[in-house]
Amino acid sequence: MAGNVPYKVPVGPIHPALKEPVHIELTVLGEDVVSADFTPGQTHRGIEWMGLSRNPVQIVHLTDRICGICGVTHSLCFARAVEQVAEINAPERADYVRTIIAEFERIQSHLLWAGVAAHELGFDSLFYLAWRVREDALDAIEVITGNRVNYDIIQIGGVRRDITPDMLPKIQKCLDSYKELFGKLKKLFLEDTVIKSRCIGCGVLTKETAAAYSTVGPTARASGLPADLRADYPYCAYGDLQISPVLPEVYGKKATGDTYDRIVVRIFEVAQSIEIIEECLANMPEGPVLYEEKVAKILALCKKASGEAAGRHEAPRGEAVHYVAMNNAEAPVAWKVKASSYSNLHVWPIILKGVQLADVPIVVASIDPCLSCTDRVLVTQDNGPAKILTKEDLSKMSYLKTRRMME
Amino acid sequence: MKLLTPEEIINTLQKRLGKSMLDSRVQIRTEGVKKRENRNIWITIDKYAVHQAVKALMSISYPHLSCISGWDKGKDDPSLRVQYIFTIYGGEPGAETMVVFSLDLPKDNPVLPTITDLMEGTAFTEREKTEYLGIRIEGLAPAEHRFFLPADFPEGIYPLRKDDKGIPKSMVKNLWAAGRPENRPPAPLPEKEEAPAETPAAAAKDAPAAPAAPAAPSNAGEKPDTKSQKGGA
Repeated sequence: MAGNVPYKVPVGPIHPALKEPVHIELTVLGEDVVSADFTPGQTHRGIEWMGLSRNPVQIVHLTDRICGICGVTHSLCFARAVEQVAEINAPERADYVRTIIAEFERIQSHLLWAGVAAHELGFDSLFYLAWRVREDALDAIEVITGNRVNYDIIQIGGVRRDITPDMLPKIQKCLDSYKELFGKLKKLFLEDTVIKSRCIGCGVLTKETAAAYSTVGPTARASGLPADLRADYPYCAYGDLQISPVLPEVYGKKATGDTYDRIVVRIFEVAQSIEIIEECLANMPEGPVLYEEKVAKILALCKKASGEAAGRHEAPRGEAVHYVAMNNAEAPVAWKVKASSYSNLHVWPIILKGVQLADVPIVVASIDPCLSCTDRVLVTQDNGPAKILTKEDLSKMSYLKTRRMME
Repeated sequence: MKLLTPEEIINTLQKRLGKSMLDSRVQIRTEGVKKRENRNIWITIDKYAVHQAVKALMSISYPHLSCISGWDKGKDDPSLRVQYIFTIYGGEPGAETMVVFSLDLPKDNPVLPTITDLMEGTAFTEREKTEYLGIRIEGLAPAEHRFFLPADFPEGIYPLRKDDKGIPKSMVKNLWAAGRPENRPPAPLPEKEEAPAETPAAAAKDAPAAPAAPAAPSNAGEKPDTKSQKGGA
């Protein structure tokens, strides 16, 4: 009877099936999604606007906080853009350190995603496994940078810390543990009957649409687009390596652009990242890691610079771009952050069309959406119009809750 | 497919665009030990030539649009600078070339044509320009809701504008200036009856020790003092 009436199902902005705040509105007919709409921008933070009143060295630290997972992506893009405008060349060794950190980031990001994907499918023991082994990558990152999340290792003109010989055994131990584990991960994620039946043919993004929507990263590669900046656009140490983009073909499978292919690409990229790190560690040139150690001198160079440039980097989720324009002033006149998910989110309405309601979480998660990068005020619905909570309000609520719990 | 060098790409685009192409520059960047080149082409075009330029680029190779970015040129120049950041030859090892079309757009009539008829998926980044900079996109149906700004963000304010349409001072919240909240309710800690005499001295000597220490009633009176000291220092 009611089967022919389309229903609107709102998901989010805050929902257990989503890692981050986004509002998705699904029109469903029975169990099938007829159309979907999405509203990001729930956590607009105004980072670009803040950057326009800060100097490049300060912005580097701000970029570290754009995303909690891509801790190096944004600072690397920004630093590369500023270096091009100010004509600063990062030392070769710094290029290698940057590459190594970027690859460790890819490992931890892909494993984090794999865990989330398993969780969305209801396979929680696999979720715990993926997140436990992800700790090894975080430990290696901690050894190198001193931090587990916001690495703060990039500086304009290089990196702030070098990789020293005493770190190597710990890094190698981490890589060895992943090499040992890879077969297991591959078997668990790619050979499992439930994962296969849930993901194959689900949330399909065709190659043509992937190109027309300018998608990036594993989302594009799973659809058969061989786009990977690390292979196509030599930068950092990637130009010295022989990298070929990971396509579903590595698993002896034709690219169809479904959710399963996106799992294949990410799992195999973990193995690729391990190889890249080992090669970089073996071939690291000697020398300094900073173009100029004194921050005041870097700032003086930036202040004298004028022009525009774009810094690009293949983040775990795909191409990230920072456009920077400077004009003989302390702060840049323009700064645009294009995060990877910015290029992928807008295919949601396409890939969600026709899937079943129960598949929505995994399809939404399959593009590995990272909204903290794409959104940059908190709004609540309290039986009335939306209301913005200030920091004071939030702190007060937090204190009051603690008090209540202690009573 | 024969891959063109940056100069050949510029020549091809020049032929197609004619006078609408105002200037061009090639920026080569080398990194790493082998110093392999990555290639970037920066082209300034006339604001009427957007459609033509994208078409010309598509005739070379199907492009990838990273994003459209834009900025307000400030007080001295009443215009916006818009960049269409494309790349071509994605998927060709070592040959991917960035092609950026820049143009000046007067603020009194900030209108750009949509390129969704050429590349289907460009509406998202075009809408961002409407929300952030107030650029009207001709040919693109108005969105049902915002994509980048919160739903209750005031109308007619464009965050990245540096003129009277930009963020007014009244909207800027300096979080650092907010400090810690005043008039916090007293902590419902169980009253310690053994040593009430030590309390005032400890609180006066060092602030961090204060919260851990004493009984609720005396504490409530002292806290605003330690706060104002911190704020002043």
